[in-house]
Amino acid sequence: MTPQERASRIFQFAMALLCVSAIASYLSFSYFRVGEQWVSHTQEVRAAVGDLEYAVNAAARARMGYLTSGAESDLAEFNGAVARIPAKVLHLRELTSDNPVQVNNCTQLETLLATRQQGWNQEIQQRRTGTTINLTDVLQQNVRLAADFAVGTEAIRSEEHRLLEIRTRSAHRRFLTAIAAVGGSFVLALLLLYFHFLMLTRELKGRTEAQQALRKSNEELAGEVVERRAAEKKLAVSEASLRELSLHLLRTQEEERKRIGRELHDSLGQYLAMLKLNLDLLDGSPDVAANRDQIAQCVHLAEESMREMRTISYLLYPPMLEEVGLKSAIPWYLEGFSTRSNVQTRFEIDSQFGRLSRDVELALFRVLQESLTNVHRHSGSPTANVRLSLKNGNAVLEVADQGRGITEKSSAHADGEWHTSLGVGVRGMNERMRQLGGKLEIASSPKGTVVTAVVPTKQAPMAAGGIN
Amino acid sequence: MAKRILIADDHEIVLEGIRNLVGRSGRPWVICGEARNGEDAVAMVKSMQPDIVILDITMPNLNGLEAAKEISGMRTDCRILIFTMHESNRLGIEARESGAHGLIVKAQAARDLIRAVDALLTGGTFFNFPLDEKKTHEAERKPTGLFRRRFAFA
Repeated sequence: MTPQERASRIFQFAMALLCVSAIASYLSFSYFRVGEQWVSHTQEVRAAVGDLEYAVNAAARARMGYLTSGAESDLAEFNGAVARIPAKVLHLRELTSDNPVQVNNCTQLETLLATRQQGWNQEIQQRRTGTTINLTDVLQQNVRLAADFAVGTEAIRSEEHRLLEIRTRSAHRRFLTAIAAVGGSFVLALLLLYFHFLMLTRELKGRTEAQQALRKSNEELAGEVVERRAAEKKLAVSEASLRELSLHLLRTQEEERKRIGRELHDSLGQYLAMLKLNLDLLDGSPDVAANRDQIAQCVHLAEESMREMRTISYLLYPPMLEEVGLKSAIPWYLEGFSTRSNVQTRFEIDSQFGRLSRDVELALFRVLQESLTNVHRHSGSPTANVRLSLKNGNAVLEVADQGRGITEKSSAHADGEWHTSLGVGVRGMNERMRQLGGKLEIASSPKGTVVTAVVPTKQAPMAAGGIN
Repeated sequence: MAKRILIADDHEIVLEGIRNLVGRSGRPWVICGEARNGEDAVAMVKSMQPDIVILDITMPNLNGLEAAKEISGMRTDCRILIFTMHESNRLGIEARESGAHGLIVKAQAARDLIRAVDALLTGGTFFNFPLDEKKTHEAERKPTGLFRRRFAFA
């Protein structure tokens, strides 16, 4: 049972007990009244008996008076008294009709009365007729009859008294019982209400404590939320700084490549070029006819060295990119790529495609390099199509091949994982695109792969730092 | 009258090489000036009014193509010859578009420089592109170099 049910049950019991005590109160009052009624009943019976005795005595006295004096007034008085007797008897009978003993007593009394009345009538008749009456005998007879009558009335009185005692005792008992019920149920109700009060108090106390605990845990939670937000902010800040760092690293890498590429090209390359020049001139001179073969070999070596050097430096950093832009750098690069890899390339460019910022051109060039590397290494495609276009303020580079696509092992559901599995190069490209406000998308199927790089042509001031 | 040649390159060794070639050419040519960057080249063309300027592409301050654009925009009869390390078919088009009258590569300096200057000074052009493709491609297909193998797929 839940505490609520228990409290409710207790309360219901208390209410029921209060109802019981109310009923018991009512009953006790009614029993009290019943007791009172019996007392008044007894008084009535006594009064009725008294009345009857008075009427009988009046009749007896009047008879005696007539017997002694012969006065008509006594006779009238006697008749009047006798006339009242039946009513009295009837009244008494009515009052005692509920009790068989009293009924019996009344019947005996009536018989006695009838006998006395009969005697009286005889005596009156004798006097009227002038018959001599022995007053002493009459007296003696009357005394006897009166004594019997008195016994009869006394029997009624004492029976009534006895009945009253019994009834009042019983009423009293019930009264006490009812009072006990009232008191007991009332006390019990009070106790139950007290328990109820205790339960409620405990419940309320528990609730208050729970509320406090809740408030406290809310505060703690709010504190945790604040902490977490602060941590998230810190995380965002550190992510931003990581991004900056990675951008910085990419830039540094590019600058390094550029420096090495330039160094190779500018210093070493020039020396080799002039070496070849001298050798060519030597070759042309008649004085060295004998060493022509060797000179020819030197020339060839110089040519090879220059070619190697050029390849390295150009691949590190395409010099023409800065001077002439993607329009020239890409076809140049594709030429070399086709030759090295035997992959046929095709290049399309929008006619209105002009120069972009250094960062953007370099980033797109690197995407091209990386994509073509993958085409050669993984796709098995015989062709690669490169397209450069402008769409909605964005420069779009597409590199499409007809290879076998990216295999199950390296593909994943999210772009991030995909790029990770393909290596640092593509991840770097992706990062660089994002830094420039663009994106890198790779769509692959068993029929081929398309790498699309999209980057806004107008860069935000902070990204336009470029490589100096 | 000797034709006056202005040369512009940021590498001393290249300037020396050109001087050498011009000297050995037997032509009535004189080198009137040497610039180390594009800006100086443009200024010198303006002040010296040479007959021909030989421009390297990769130079500080102003690169050769931009210098060529500026020079061709000036009121001058100066012929412009681009003399570069870079080898690309596309570059010939770029050079033409920037106003140059000829383009030769340093790798073929011995073969082409004098011929190109000759051609330009007589009012012609010299764009020897495409290169001697057969020779170039044959040579490239033989992976002889160490670096070639490493960078073949890059």
